[in-house]
Amino acid sequence: MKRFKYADERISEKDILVAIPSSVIGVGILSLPREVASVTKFADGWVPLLIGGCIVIFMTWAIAKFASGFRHQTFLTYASKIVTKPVAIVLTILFAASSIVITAYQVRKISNIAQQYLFDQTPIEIVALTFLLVVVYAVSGSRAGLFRINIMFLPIILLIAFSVIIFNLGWFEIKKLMPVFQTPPTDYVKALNTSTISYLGFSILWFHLALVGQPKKAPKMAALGMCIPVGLYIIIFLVCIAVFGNAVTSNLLYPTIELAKVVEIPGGFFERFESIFFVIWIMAIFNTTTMAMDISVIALNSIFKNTMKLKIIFMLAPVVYLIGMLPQDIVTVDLLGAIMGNTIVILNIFVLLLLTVIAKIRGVKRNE
Amino acid sequence: MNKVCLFLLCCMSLLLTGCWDEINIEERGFVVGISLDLAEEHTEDNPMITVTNQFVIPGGLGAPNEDSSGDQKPFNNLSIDGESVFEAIRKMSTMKGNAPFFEHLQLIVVSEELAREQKLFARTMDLFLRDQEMRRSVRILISENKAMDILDIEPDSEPLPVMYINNASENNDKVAGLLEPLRTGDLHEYLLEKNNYLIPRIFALDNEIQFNGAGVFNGRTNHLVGVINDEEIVGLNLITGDLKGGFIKFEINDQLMIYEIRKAKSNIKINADDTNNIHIDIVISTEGNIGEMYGERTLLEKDYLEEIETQINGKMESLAYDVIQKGKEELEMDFFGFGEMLQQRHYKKWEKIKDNWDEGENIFKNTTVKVKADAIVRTTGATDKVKDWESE
Repeated sequence: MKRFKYADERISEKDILVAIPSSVIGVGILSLPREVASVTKFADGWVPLLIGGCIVIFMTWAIAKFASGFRHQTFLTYASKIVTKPVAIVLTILFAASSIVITAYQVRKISNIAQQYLFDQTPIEIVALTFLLVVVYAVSGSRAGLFRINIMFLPIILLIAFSVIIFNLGWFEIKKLMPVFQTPPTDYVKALNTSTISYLGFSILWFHLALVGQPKKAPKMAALGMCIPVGLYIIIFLVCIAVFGNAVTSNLLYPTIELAKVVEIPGGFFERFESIFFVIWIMAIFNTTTMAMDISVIALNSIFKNTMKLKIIFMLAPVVYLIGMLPQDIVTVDLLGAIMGNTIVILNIFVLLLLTVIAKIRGVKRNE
Repeated sequence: MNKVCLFLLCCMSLLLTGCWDEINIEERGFVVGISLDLAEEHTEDNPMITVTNQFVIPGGLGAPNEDSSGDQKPFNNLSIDGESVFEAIRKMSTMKGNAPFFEHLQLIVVSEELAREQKLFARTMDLFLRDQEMRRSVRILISENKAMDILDIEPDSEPLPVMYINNASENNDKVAGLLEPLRTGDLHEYLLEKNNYLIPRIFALDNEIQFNGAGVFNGRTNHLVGVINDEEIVGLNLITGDLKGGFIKFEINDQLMIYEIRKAKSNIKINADDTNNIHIDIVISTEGNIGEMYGERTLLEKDYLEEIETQINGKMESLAYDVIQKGKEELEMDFFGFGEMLQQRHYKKWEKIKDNWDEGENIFKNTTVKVKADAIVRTTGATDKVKDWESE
C-alpha cells in the first residue's frame, strides 16, 4: 500500500494559534467548574481562573519565545547545546513520559464519561481501546495533518460550546452570582492550583515549534491561542454558577455536561441536546489526545533516531492503554490527573528556567 | 494480496456485528410519571415506599385507526413496595416484561404523607438526581391524598394524565395563585442549601386535578411542615415578583371588579443595620387592565380610575401582609427568600445571624416588614361600559 505524503511537513504560525487551544480544551473543562466551585464561595472562582490564565498565557509566551529562538531545531538538539546531551536526554524522556500519562488519562477519562452518559453496558476497556486505536491511526499519519485536523475541529468545538451557553441563557439567575469576593485568600490559592492545571497543553511548544517555517510571530500567536481556553473556561464557569448555583455545581461530577443536558430547544422536537454536545466534545478530546501522544512520539524519536516512527507508536500504544486502565475508580483517576497536572506544570517551569538561565550563562547563540 | 484483504474483511465484519447497548424501542418501558407513597405496612424506623410507575402504551396513543384494538388505555400504572426507590424499580422490571426507561420521565408526584416524614423526602429524591437516565427538568408535585391516585385519572383533553398535569401547571401566567413548576434541578439546590422552599400541591377530583396551594418545606430537615393556600401564594408571588400574570379580585362601591395583571415586579430593600430589628421594605408595582366589572359606572374618569387603583393597592397589600403574617406567626419560617437576599447583600451580617434567622432566636419573627403596592390600570379593555341601568 502506498502512503500519501504531504508536500511539506512545515506548519505556519497560524497553526500554532489553533493548536494551543486544541490541545488545552479536553476533558478538563467537563469537571473544572466543580473543582473550582467546591473551594471557592459563590461565583468567586473566576478570579483564580483569570489569574491562573494570565500565568499560563505568560508561560506560553515565554516558552514560545525561547523555543522559536532555535529555528528548525528539535528540543533535543538545542537542549543538548545548552545543558549537555545526557541532561537533555533526561529532560526529553521526562516530557515523553508525562505526555504518555496525559494520553492515558484522557483516554481513561473519556471512556468513563462515555460509559456514564452514552453506553451503559459497553465495558470501558472496549471504549478506551476503540478510542486509542483512532488516536494511534491519527498520530501515525502526517504531523502536518494533525494540525489540519485541529484547524478543522476547533471552530466546531467553539460553536457547540457557545450554543450550550446561549441555550442556557433562559435558566440564568444573576442573583446566584452574588455576593462577590467573599472567599478567604487561602482558598483562592487552592483554586489557583486547580485552575492552572486545567490549562495544561503548552508542552507542544517545546517540540512542535521546530516545524514552524517562520517562527517570528509564534510567541504572539501562542499567547493569543491560549487566551481562547482561558476566556472559554471563565465563561463556562460563570454560566454553571448562574444556572446551578454554587452548591449544585460543586456536587455535580461533570457540570459542563449537565449544562448541555439542561438545554431545551424551544419547539420540543429536539430533546437530547447533550448527545450532539458529546459527539463534538469527543472531537476536542481527540485533538488533545493526539497532540499529547505526538509529543511523546517526537520526543522518543529524537532520542532513538534510527527507529521508525510507526514502531515507536506501536510500542507506546499498549503502554498508554495499560496506564489508562490501571486506576480502579474515579477517585484514583482524578488523583492521577492531579499528580500528572502538577508534575507537568513544575516540569515546564523548571525546564524553562533551567534552559534560559544556563543559555544566558554559557552564552549559547540563537540562530535568529 | 487481494485474497488476504478479502479474508481480513470477512473477519472484521464478524467483529462489527453489534452494539452492547442495543435495545429495541419496543422493548423499552417508557415511564412518563412516577408517584411515591408511604406503603401501608411500614414500621417507624424502617419506612417502606410504594413506587408507582406510569408506563406509556404506544398503541393506545395517537389517532385511532381500524387496526388498533379500540379502547386500549394509553397508559398502565404499576405499583410496588420497596425500602428504596431503586430496589422497587428494579423489582418492577421482573414484573413487567419491558425494563423501565426514564429518559422521558416528566413528573414525580410525592404524597403529603411521605413528605411529612423527616428526611425521608430527601432520601427518596436521591435517585432522581443521581441516575444518568434522569433529566434535571422533571417536575415535582405534592399530592394531598394518595399520590398514585393522581396518575390514575383519565383526562378528556389529553391521552396521558402526566401531559394533562404538565399543561395545567404551565398556566401560571393566567392564575396568580399558581407557583412556577418546580424541577428536580432546582430541588437539588434546595436540598443542598438550607433555605426553606415550596412545592406546588395538587389533588385529584374524579377525572380532574386541582392545584391547591403549596407545601412549605423546611430547608434543614427537608420535610413538609406546613401548607399555604392559593390566596397566600398570590401574596407570595407579589412579594417575590415572580408573578407571571393573573388577576386580583376586589370590590368597589360594593360591586365586584377584576384587575388583570399583565406585568408585575417587586423591589425589596433590606435594612440590616440593627440585626435585632431588621427592616424589610417591599414595593410591588404592577401594570394591567380591568378584566371584568359588575358595576356600571364609567371607567373613563381620572378620579374613578385613581380610586380603583387605590382599592387594588389595598387588596394587594393585604394579600401580601396575610402571607407574611402566616410566615411569621404561624409557621415561624421564612419562605420568601429574605434570608437569601440578606446573604447576597449583607453577607457579613448574614454570617453572624444565619443560625438564628428562622430558628433559635428567630430574628425573622421580629423583623418589620412594610409593603407598598403601586398598581397602574393601563386600559379598561375593549369597552368602557357594557351595561347601563337607568337608576331614575
